[in-house]
Amino acid sequence: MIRYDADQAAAYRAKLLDRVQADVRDCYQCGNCTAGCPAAFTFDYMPNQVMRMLQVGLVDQVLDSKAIQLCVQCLTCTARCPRNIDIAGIFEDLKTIATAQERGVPEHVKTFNEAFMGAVARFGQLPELYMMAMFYLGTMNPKMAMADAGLAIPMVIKGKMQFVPRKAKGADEVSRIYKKTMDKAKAREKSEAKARAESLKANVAGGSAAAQKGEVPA
Amino acid sequence: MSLAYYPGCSLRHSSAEFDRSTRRVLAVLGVEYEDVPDWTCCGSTPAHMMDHLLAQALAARNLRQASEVGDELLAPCPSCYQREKNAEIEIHKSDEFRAEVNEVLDKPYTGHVVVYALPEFLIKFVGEEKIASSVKTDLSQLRVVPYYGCLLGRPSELTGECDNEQPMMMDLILQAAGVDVKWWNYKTECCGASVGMPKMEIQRRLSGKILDQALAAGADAIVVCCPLCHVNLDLKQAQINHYLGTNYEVPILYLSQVLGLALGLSADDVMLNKNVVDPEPLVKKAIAAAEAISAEEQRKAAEKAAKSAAREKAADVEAKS
Repeated sequence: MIRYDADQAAAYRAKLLDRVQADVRDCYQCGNCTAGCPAAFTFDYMPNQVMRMLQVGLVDQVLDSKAIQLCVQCLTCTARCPRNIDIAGIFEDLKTIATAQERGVPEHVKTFNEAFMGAVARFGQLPELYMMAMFYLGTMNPKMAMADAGLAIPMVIKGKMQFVPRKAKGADEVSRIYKKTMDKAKAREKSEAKARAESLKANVAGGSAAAQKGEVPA
Repeated sequence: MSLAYYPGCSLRHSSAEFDRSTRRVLAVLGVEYEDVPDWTCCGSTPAHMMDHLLAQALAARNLRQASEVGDELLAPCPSCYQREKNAEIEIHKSDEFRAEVNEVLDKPYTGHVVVYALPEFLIKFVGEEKIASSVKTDLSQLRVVPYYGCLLGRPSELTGECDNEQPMMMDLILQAAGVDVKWWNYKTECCGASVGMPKMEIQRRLSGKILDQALAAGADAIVVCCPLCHVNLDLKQAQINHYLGTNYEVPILYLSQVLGLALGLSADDVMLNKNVVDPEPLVKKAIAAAEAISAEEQRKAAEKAAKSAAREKAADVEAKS
């Protein structure tokens, strides 16, 4: 059974209003975002479905979905939305929230992002070959590495590969920025989750107290 | 004006030809610039997919470094451009946000650096007239479609383009350079770059469509201005063919390479040898065809002049007699 959650809907509407300046309530389900989305054929929920799910508070399903992870951030949906909702911005923000909540996200997007940022934090500038190696190690899927191994040949022939990564001068600062910001985001999500759990507890307690008195909770 | 140049990670190795040809073109057009001292990665797609503050802070670090050179920053890679531009707009708009960003930086960013992409910079600071008057090589027989991808056109409020669906800056520059620009409907379709590695099906399908549509529009080559579009269409063209069962062989050129050729730079100057699908035969053929046409036109004009001279002479003789 699908349970709609008005509390979650209100909480995430406020959160997205604050962070992306986009109101999910504006969506009237015209489907323009889905029609123009080049990656929707790999999604589990279409962009307009995601918008509806946010409206009714099915936030956990959205945060665990493939859709927000596989969004290519081409911004076509945002450009074409007749209600001027920044849909790609919402997808981006939900992705960052899923990251900060340390959810086990589907597909290899998280592996890629972590390989990329890990390499950048270590060397300051992106060492492409090193990043690719870390990514394929992270996926634990030799098939994927084999599919792209063919790319190495033209890259080597054309002299487009840097074999030994070099540390750029600002690398230490980059690594500090990476750590500080991710710690901050994780702490924020933890404290929000805690506050939400407490208010839920208080509601339940209040509800049962009211029930004992014979009142119907609103 | 002192211009800071931000090459970005891709331009160091995997798209060295974009870097070299851009620098050569700037030199020919008389644009002076200095590299951003000790620049680091802009964070690209992964940073803003992980955390907003992380993305803006990484970009702000580069804005701070650029402010040591000047108040204008040229970022040829559209991915870098979007990240830096995004940070520029948000930080300059809100002092509160600037403080939040400065909290995670080692040294605060206090400047006002404005970020430009390559087409935008060329249109604004060099101009079509200057480009047209500097053309040395006739490329009128080179049939191309300009491919903007996602980041150069969208959102138009940010990029300064006239329209989300029909950006024009690359068209205008190529036309000024005398190239035969074809009209097509896939200017801003996504090539699938940001999930190209974790989810290759998306990239194969989207990039395949772009190659197909370029040929349908009557183009022999696609002109791009983005290292990621270039990797997807050029380096991965063989993989696309393998996945879709096609046999495309479409050269993918950088805007700066085509512009450089038109401005009289050689194939080596713009590093045509670095492209995986070899563009040299096509470029040579187009230049030879244009030369043949202009030779033919000259011959015809000379013939016409000779004929009219002969006619005048005959008329003179007639008048005298």
